[in-house]
Amino acid sequence: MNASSKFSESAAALGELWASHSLIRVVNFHNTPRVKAEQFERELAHYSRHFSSVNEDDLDQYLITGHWHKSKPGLIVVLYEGYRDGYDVLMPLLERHGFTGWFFIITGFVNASVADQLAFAQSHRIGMETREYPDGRYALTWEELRALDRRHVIASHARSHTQLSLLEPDILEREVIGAQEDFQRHLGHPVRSFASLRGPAHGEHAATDRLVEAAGYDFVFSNFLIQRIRSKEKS
Amino acid sequence: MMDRRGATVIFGMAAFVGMGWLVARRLRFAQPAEAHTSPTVFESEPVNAFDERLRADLARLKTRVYSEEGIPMFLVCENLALKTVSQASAAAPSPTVNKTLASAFRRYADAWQRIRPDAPASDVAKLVEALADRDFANGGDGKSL
Repeated sequence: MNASSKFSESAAALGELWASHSLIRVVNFHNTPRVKAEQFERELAHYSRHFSSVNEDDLDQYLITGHWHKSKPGLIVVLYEGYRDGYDVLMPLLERHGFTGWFFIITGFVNASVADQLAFAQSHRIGMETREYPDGRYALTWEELRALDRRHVIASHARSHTQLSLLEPDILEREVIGAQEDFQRHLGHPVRSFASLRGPAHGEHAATDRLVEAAGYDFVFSNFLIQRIRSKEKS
Repeated sequence: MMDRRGATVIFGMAAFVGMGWLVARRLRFAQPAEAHTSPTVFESEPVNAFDERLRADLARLKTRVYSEEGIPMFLVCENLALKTVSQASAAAPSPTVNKTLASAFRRYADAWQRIRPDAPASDVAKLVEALADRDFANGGDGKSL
């Protein structure tokens, strides 16, 4: 099979998926440095004119009923990793323009001491092109996360930002279950949404599937899908 | 520090893994595809102009710093909890927008095979990104895709 046929197969598979399932718009942020705040503001202002905010209950209802209940199409604003500037820079802009932020947190990044955060980022595929904090704290604190938790969505991006399908069982459990335990301990409740580096989607890696279900996550985000894996009533 | 090349490599690997999984699941989703929707603005564009615009879009997207920009995407919604499939679009009140996007994606894929016959599977994610970029810029009106 040559490269072109693989492309055509992949494109056809995704095309069929798009034609037969619901789609939702997502905008993915990572580091959101202040030096780019004006650009973010312009983008969010544009999005707020055309799209509406989505929280977990909105998503849940949409996945159950297939009907979007707001006048403007839904847009999920995702912030990956747990950067401090997600709170300092993007969160105020999100609130000004009426969006809920979905903060997918690497709990190991948040748990790292300030002195270790840069090294943690560099060794765990956490991009740090722009560094705007002379004090060296680049990750959110749990106090900031508790504040975000009041109006936004806190979600799990596992503990260490590693590719789960490559891990030994005990390490995999710490990544999936351990992260949920971190949220329970510091937020006082489990989180509902889970995403990991490069997937996997639910159904792709059985060991991860079992742990994600055991941890009590409701939604799995991956490269091309949002999957509702567990009904809230079973919580 | 992750540089732009590193971010690009990671994005490419992620896309490759994801596309492999999609192909593996193809039979699961092998429901009859929706018929192409009625013509929209983009379908009246000459092939060469369309191809050239797509090529330019993908070249522009290569310059993105993925770790410091908001990257528009579409995600498919799947309800595994109740084993029911939501058919309506979350993107707009009209479900025809879903069909429009699916149709536009097919046209992008056809064009990209003309432009780059040896395209790798990971380029599919780039096409989604290009389509989302145009759609978001147009406010999700389903036109000029």
